[in-house]
Amino acid sequence: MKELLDRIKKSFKIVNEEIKRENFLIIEVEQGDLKQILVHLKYNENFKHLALLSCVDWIEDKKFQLTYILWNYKTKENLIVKTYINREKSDHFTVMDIFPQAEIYEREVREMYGVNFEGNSTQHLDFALEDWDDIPPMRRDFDTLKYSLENYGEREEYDRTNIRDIISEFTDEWRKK
Amino acid sequence: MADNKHFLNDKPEKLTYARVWEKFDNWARANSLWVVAYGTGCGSIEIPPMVTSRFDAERFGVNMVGTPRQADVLIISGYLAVKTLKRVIRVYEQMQSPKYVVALGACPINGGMYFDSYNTINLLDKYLPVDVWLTGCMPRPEAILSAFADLMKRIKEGRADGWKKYIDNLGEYRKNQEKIIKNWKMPNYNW
Repeated sequence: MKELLDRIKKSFKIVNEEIKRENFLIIEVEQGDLKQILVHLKYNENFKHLALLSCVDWIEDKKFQLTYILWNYKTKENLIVKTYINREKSDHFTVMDIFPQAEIYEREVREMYGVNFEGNSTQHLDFALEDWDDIPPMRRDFDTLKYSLENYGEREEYDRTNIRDIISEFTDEWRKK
Repeated sequence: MADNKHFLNDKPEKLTYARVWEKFDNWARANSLWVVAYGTGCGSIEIPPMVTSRFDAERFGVNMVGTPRQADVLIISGYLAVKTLKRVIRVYEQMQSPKYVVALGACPINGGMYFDSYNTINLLDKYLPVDVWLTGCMPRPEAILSAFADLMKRIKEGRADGWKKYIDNLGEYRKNQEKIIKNWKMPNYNW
């Protein structure tokens, strides 16, 4: 992994890197360099398979983290490419022209986080939800408990408005043991 | 509920011809319950062992069928997403009366471990009439068989009348359903 990292570092600017295991490398790049790095990794370093594209909401830093997990069939190596994008505007570009299977992942991230993937023409279609009209549900400022109580209701004998405090009390006690 | 519309609950002590015939009908219905082979959540994994040789539900007359038109029982097996609820309502309305609903697990009762999910309903009886509730997460096949025994008992006593409630209170059920299924494009079935 060390040689691979050195080779990438020669031609690209890498913000942060970490060698997790002997076949597992994590690199962080800037949003503008992402596409070139992915092209380089696919065609020159043989990382032909995009295994996953996922998103993390860092609401305190006002950023979304996009994570591309790549896999090399020949050397059996994992490579994670991370990048941070602006949370307010959340504009990004598609990587469908490099990895066509990214189309579905981008649809999912678009639905769950509201990231706009420029160039993906099918991203507006429903992925798992139907006729969703609230803010994207996996954003951390979306209150699932409030939404659930408002839309789906509860039994009259229950009061679940502060159930999260009760659960956290129990888990704190359990952690102390 | 407008139970007095139906002759069964009208004057229970008076034995009319229709009432005797209804009793015979209920006895026949209770002994051949056909279930739609449709699973909604994680509980559907308990259905295959129930109908195959280990627990063998067919000795009680409980059988699986592939079409809702031929079925008597709809099992809501586990959590119910809003997307699935739309399909469940379509399946339920295509079934011929009399029809019964068995709700498995904690999720249809009060949300279970998905009580704060943005996508699963908490109270099934707002949207469909339920005849038998079964607690557990998940109930074992023995428990499901006991639920069927309970359902048979209720049918024989003439108390499993959820389908009548659905017809009588259709407007109320429809209002609740349309509240969470935003884009309501469903055919109107006649029953």
